[in-house]
Amino acid sequence: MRKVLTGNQAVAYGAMLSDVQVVAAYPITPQTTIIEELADMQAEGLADLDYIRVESEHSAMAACIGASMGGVRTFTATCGQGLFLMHEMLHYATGARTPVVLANVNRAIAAPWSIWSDQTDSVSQRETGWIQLYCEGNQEVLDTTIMAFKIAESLRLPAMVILDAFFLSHTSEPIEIPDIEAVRDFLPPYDPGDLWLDPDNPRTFGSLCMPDTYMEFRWQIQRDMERAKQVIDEVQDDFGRVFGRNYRQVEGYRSDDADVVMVVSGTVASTGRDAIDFLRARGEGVGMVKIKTLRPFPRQELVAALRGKKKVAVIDRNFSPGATGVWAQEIRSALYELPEDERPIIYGYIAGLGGRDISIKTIEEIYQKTREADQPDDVDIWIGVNYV
Amino acid sequence: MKYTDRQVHVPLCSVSTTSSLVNKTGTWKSAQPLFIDRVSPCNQQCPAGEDITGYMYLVGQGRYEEAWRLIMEENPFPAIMGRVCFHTCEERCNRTEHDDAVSIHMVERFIGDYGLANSLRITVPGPERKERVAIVGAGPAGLTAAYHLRKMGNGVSIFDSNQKPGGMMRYGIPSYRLPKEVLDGEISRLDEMGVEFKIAVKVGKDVTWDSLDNEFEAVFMGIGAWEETSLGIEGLNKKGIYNALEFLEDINLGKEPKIGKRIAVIGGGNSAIDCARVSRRLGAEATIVYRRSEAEMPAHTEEIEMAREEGVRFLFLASPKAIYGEETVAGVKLEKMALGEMDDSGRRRPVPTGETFDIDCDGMITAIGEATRVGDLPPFTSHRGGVVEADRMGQTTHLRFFAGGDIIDIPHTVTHAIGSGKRAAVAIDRFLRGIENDKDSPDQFTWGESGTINLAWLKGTSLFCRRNPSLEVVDYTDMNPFYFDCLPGVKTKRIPVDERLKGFQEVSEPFSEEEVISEARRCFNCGSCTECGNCCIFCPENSIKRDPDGYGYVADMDFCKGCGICVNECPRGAMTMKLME
Amino acid sequence: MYSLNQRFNNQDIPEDEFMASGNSACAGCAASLSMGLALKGLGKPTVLVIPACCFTIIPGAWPLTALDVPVFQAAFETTGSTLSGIKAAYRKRGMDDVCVVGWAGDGGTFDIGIQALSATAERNDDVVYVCYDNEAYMNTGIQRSGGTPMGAWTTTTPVKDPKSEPKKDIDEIMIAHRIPYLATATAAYPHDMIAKFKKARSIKGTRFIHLLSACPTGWRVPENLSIEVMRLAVLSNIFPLFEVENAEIFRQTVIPDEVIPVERYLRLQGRFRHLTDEAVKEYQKMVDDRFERLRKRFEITE
Repeated sequence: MRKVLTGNQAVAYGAMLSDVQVVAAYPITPQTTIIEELADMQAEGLADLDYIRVESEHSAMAACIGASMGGVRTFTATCGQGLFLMHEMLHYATGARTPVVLANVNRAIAAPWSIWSDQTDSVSQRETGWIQLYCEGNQEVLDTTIMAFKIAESLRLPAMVILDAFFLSHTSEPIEIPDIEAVRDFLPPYDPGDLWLDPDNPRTFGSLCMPDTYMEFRWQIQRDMERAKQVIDEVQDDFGRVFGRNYRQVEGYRSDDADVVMVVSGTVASTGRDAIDFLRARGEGVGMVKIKTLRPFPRQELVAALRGKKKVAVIDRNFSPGATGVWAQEIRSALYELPEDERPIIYGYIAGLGGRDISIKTIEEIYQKTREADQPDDVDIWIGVNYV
Repeated sequence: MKYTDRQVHVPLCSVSTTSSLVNKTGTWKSAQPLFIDRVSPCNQQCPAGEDITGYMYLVGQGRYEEAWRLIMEENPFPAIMGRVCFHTCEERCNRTEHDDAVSIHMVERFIGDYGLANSLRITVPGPERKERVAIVGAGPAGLTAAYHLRKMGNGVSIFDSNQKPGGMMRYGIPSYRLPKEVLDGEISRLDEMGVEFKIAVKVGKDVTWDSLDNEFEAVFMGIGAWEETSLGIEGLNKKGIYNALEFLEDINLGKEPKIGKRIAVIGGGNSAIDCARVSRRLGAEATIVYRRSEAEMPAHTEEIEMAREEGVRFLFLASPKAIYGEETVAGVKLEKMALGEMDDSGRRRPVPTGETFDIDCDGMITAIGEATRVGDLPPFTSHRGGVVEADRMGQTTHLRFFAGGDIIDIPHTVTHAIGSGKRAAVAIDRFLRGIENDKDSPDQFTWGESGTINLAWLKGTSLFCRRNPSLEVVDYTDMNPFYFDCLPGVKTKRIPVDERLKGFQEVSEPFSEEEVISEARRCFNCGSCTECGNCCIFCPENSIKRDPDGYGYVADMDFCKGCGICVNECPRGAMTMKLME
Repeated sequence: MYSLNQRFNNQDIPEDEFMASGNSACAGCAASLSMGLALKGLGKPTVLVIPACCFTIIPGAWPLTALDVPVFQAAFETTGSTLSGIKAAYRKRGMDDVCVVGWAGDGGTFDIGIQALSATAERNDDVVYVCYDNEAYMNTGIQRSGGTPMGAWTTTTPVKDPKSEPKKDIDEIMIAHRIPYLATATAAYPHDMIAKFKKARSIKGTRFIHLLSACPTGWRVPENLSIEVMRLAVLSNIFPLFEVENAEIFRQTVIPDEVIPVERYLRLQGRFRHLTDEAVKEYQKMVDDRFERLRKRFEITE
């Protein structure tokens, strides 16, 4: 079935099709239409879920952790400030090994107030132990939401589906909505196994750990995060086989023969495809790599995709004050393992913060700067900023 | 990616499944709780060595026969005791600091009467040992000694010069205080236990002391104090003048003494009160003349109160100097007295003022004290003015002979006599078994200020757990009074005065069963574990459990952290903290 | 059998034990005792949510636990919302009979957790929330909380500057949520406490039980007096024992035979040692005034 849906509706459909059992959510622009849609679905009987209208994002995540401990499939959505308020509980969900799925609509961080798109909220959660899946379009949003449950539950690690504010959340696209029975075959009901609050089995979850035991639990998170790379691939492959839409953690676009490769994520990839086509038509040896996962970070795939390239331009719609854009940091670190002669020069660009448009022109400008300079001017180059 | 080769046996998240019981927190403590069985003040002072807290506990649960048997372990006469004992236990009752003392004597009387009404019996262990013991005097001391010796398996013969056994209980106490059927009922049990009664046999006359000395392995003397102390003034041979012993004996034998209508009773003790109250029942006016003031009267307060109710008048600070009248007494000349310094008894001494006055009377009873008839004692007994020399257990200088009751240096009460009889029985039994009665031995098995023995304590068979007995007396401050509601005690009811004066009907009315239970339940059971459960419920470590093998609780020292809450919350002071080494 | 305790019939106390020996509470801790009694009243199936508080430590470090019911150790401020989440999950699984119980300290209730608690109560989620109130942040070393009473010394309100504000009235706050059941209780009155937990279990909706829980370490009382001091709190009307149904029916469940002066309660504790006689008098007035307000409501509804 095809429908015209906004990105937020796509999230809600994804959650509904995944037979999510408990939703705990708190409204925040531009996430609100996700939870409104879910409330309607529940009210209309389309979704058999228990909806907890919490008083904050912190409680939303706490309630999701509780529900997940109770042994059910659990979902919430937020953005920007809400995600920051959740921060403590994001860590908690990982430590408790609760496979909660969260849709985060990328929103810029206050102060000053801004409701527009920016990845600083989600990249700031790098260390929380959440799987982060960035989406380019509304179809990917819906499909990724379904896959996120499967990935999270098979790893017992929480997963975040990430979409850009307004560019996706409030933009409509025609979407193929999978058949719910097919989704159910793909994603069977949640089985918490042994790790849930079984009232007949008196165990204490989350016991204090002394220095001699704490690291073992953290190590297991890391072990499973590394395993996640393989699991994500398997789930995406399965999804492709069933639904005919294929997703990769690292996906090249006309990059095989390119000298300069632009690395992008989210909706920039969509603009990027047109920009690459435009530049190629002009005869430029440029290609693009789209990364879907910030965590776990797909080092090997990325190394394979960028090995031997002359220059790599990383476009970050986020930044870490005093350092660089987060994607650029990660890529620099990943490529360092290459021998010097195969190691590209990394150009880090900061663009599109607070919803500022990243147009074909912006990408062209970035390409030009990259092509022209033998070495980057700076560790990060801010694009389109009126310096003061 | 290689992390480590080490096998880590941990779950995915920190889920605890091992019981904390592996964590022996008992090592934290510096002091530990101890279950301790201490002596209640009532028990400690009981001259008869009864386990009052014990039978209160049983009565509270309606376990009357068990209560009766518990008393009978110590005292063969609960029905008598509940009536004639002056129940000093109630003065010492810790409950007095809370609301009212428990009416112990009324509960005991109920239990005694229950035993009589249900013909409860004591079965004697057999076979009897060959050692035979002679008891001289079938008063409370002698009967008690006989009872306990018999229970211990000894053959006992009891001699008494009177027509019936009972001694002072029969001949000295008026039946409005102790009905004769109660007395007979309780004494008859001794008969059934195989005590041989040799009645109307006067030792020293019908049988010689030497023959007893030869025929019996041991002899107990409990011949009592039957000689009235003389007033030491002229004219005591006039008609209408009695001494208290004669007067009360006549009454108890059913004779009507020839006494006038206005009687002066000289003295301030319980005998004086008895004589005055009997006089009132004979239709006479009675005035008690006492040389000190009311505060110094040795008579029991309740007795004084009842005498007043019955119209007995009191004349204090007056001492007889002369008796008026020709053949019959017509009046007494009294000297006014004043109170001086304290004497040896701790009471203020009467001091003559020289000032005199007269009272009219046509009858007079002297009741100023009784003493042993020295002539009735065996020649080989050492005594001082009739008070036989004996050690704390009653053994005299003639080692085969033991003494008890009013002839030794103890207060002249039935209860003290009973206590002395029991003490002597223990000493005699030990003597017969060849256990030396050295001077320290009583301390090892007596409790109480008068060296009273509680046999159950001695044998370790007390009702309450005796895992850790202590002779320490429990004070009100050792208890946790919160756990006891304030409940006023049941007051003893007495029959109306006009009913009383018609005859010799018993004055105190018995408690109803409900009243008895309610009184018994008011008992704090000071110092004894009644398995109330507080220690267990309030233990934050869950380390106190019911003793699976018996009575009470055990604290698991593997886990006890030594906080001491159990001790503080023990309502009755049956626990203590002990510092650890 | 009659009550050998005379005041309480301890034979009524359920024998079930859900709190094992070997726990890590300080000696004389009323909280560990309270937990045992509470679970006796609640029975099974019960699941506990415990946020950061002394009870993070008390059951024992991994892999040990003293608790014989399932427990989730939650983040400090999340008791209310975690309860709501677990309850929702059980509802989805058809396990509505499981009693989901939060067990939080005064810090986790009066202060950091009040937002989540308030929301849970406002939604009237079907959970039991227990605050064991030891009147300061004891686990971190006796720092002042909203539950700390006026005049008390804590490590953040030193004797030269003790807490000058009265204790936050959490009961009134919860009553204002018009929840179906609220009760105050203390382990010094175990029968009353167990009865309230039993009753709480039988009611649907948000139930709030406020336990006074003496901390010998933080209150500066000898370990053996932790029951005693809680008892004095009740007898002096500092901590009256009552229950409220639907914010309408008020009932005092333990009426002291004789109300004792608050001075006896205060003077037993080192944390109030610095109070002047004048301050104690003011204290008495404050306690009397609060109790009078409550008493009027007991009267109206009885």
